[in-house]
Amino acid sequence: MWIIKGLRKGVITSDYPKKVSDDELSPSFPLKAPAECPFGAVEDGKFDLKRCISCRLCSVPFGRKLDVDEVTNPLNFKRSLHVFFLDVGTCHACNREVAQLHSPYYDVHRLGIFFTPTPKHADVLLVAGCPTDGMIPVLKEAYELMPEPKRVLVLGACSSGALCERKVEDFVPVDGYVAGCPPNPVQIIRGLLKMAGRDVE
Amino acid sequence: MFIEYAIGAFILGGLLGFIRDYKSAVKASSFMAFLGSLLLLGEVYNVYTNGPVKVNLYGLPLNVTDVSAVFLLIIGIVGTAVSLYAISYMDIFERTGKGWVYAIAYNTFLASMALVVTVDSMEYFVVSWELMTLSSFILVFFSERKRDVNASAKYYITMHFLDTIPLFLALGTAYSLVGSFDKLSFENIGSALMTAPAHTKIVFGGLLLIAFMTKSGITPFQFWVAETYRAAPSSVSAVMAGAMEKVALYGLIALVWKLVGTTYSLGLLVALLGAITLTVGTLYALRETNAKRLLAYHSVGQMGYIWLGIGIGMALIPKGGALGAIGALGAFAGLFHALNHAIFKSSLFLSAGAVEYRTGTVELNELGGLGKHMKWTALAALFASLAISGVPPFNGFISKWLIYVSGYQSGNLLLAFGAVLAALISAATLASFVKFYGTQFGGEMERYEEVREVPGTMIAGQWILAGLTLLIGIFPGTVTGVLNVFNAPVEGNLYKIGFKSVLFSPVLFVILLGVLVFGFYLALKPSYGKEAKPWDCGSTQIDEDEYRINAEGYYIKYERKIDGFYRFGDWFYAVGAAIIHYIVRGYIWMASYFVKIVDTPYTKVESVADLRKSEVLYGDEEALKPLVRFLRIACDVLPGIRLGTFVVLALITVGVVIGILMAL
Repeated sequence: MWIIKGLRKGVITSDYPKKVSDDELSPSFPLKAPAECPFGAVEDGKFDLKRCISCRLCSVPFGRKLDVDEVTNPLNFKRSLHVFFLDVGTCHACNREVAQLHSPYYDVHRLGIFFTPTPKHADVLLVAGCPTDGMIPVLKEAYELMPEPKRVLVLGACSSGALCERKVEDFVPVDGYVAGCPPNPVQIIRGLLKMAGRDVE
Repeated sequence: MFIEYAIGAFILGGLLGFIRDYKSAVKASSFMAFLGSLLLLGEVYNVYTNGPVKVNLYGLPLNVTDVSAVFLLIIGIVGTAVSLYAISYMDIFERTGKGWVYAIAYNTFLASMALVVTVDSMEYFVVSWELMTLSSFILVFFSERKRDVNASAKYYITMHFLDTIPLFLALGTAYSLVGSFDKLSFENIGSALMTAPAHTKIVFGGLLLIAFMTKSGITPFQFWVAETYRAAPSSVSAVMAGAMEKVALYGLIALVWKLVGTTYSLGLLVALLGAITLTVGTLYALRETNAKRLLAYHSVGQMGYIWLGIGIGMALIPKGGALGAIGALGAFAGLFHALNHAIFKSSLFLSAGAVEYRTGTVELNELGGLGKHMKWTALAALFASLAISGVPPFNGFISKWLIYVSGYQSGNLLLAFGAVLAALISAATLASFVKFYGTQFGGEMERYEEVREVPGTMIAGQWILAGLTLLIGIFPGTVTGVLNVFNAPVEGNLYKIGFKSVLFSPVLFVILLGVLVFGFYLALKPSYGKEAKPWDCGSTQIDEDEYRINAEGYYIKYERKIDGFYRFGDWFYAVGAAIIHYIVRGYIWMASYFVKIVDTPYTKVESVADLRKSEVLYGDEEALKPLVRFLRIACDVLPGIRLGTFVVLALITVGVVIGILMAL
């Protein structure tokens, strides 16, 4: 009885992707734009999203709170997505954000996104971190084991080469990234939905 | 006339064991056993064409009847294949075993089995039976490992209490009936039993029934089977499972049924024992992870099938008429299954031995991926596995089917229930053999990349039997002539298997199956993608051989569901083991009065291991000890005696002895 009542009433925790409340996004402090970004995200007046770590020292990403991803080669699924998350050397910040995806608040299952225990079942390899010596062969092996069609989505600034010399692109072909250090769960969901070929807006 | 030569070949094989070199002794004696077994098959052909013969074998009265011929056929086929196999197989015991022990014991074992099923006298039957038990006991501890020695001691003590004592009591009963040891032929005992009072019959039959139940591992007495077959060398296990258990069946038919006579209730008892045994044995086999123990429990289970078939015959044949025909069909099916079981069970033991020969283990949890490297062994094991599970067109299917049919149509609730149970348990057999085959030959393991195929004689031994499973399955007419001793209503080639059943032609079945399989292969040709490693989360420490379901995990969920059954059985096993343990203690207590530990005199002797650990002095040795000591002292007192002096002294001694003799 209670179950039916609860189901009928429905408790919506997050409206995303229908709409995004400001609470779900990271707060920002709109200061004036610095002449030179300490992380090299602004060069010659051009803004390089990959290098931005959302340090909130400037107002540059302010207007792009949500739009921090770029998917160059999306899958044409338009349906559910199976994701294998691989940590190749993070500070564990990205892992905590990814772990939030399973929480009752974000609950990616409602969107048809599933995390698999092995790359053999996955469509998308979600990579976080700066590749370390020990994890480079594992990263390659995981990419080898994935069935076609397969895509790689990288998370955070370090895996796309903003903070360290190595980047994931050097070892496996990358098809999209979500910027931020770490990216917000909502931003990750957005990147995954884009990767599945589902138009968010 | 073949049987004399066969026994002669076995005797010669035993004598060949006195060659000093282990390998040549074993090979020569195995070859003689092979020839002897072939001669036994010749005797079967002789009896089949010319009818029963009476032979006087070096004073032993033999009567090779049609029932004996069936069992000689079983012993002959198993002996031929296994002896051929043993020529190469016994090499693995070169370090521990003694060639002459094997040669004498193995040949005696085969010869005594051939004698048990042919002698025409109760006393010689008992003597041959004891010879069979003794020689198999010697073969069981052939590897001389501690666990094997314990197993063989328990086997022998079990046989002593449940086989020897009842048989000797039965012999005494027969003597009291006939009144003379010279006239103890089966015919005389039979005619004496006709007029004997009912309780004498019950005592005689009951004693014999206990003895034969023990030897064939029927349920309350099945505890010795698994550990004994595990301990014995695989070729010996094959003979024990294939032939020795069937000898007990001969006893059931020739002594209990033919001499004491049968009643409806006795038949029901035998069938009930069979039905219980087939359930217990097969369900126990399901949880085993040691290949030889698994096969041993299956041989218990398959003996249950055979006893069920014979029991249907014993119950229904006295009724006559239509029911009698069904009973004859059941008894025929039991005998047929005995032959089939001998063939496929020996084949399975031989393939387990082949795996042991190359990898050194029969533990299924540690095996895998051998199919690629041992193709012929794998295919033979597959044939035999399908045969034991009753899959057409192999031989196990036909005999099992006949047992089901005769059980369903018997008109008795108990027999019909037994047949239903048998059909159900057949599926458990298949499940168990999926495990047996899959864990040994399926998958791949890096540990066994270097394994090669076994030598030619071993493959030949396996393939004689594996080929026969298919041959008899497709052309059952080849053996039904020999087997049909109960005049069962079977047609020559068994096209119409069973009684009032639908038409089933094994030949047509094989052709249809072949066409279907070939067609499916062409239509759905398997395509192979790229090879991929298993995902190990990037670990470098885990052995890749461990990435699989091992034998323990195959049916663990189902085993938990019948956990109560296993615990009940284990409780019984514990009680029985305790009884045997205390009997062994009793024997050792007696032995300690005849044996003196030499180096530390007051050591307490509590187990067989204590006796084996230290140097011991037997009672007779102690009696001769003063003489030995005197001779040693004499040697010390007369040091450096010259040859000339010795000759003179010897001549004087001889002269004195001759003089004394002359004077007397």
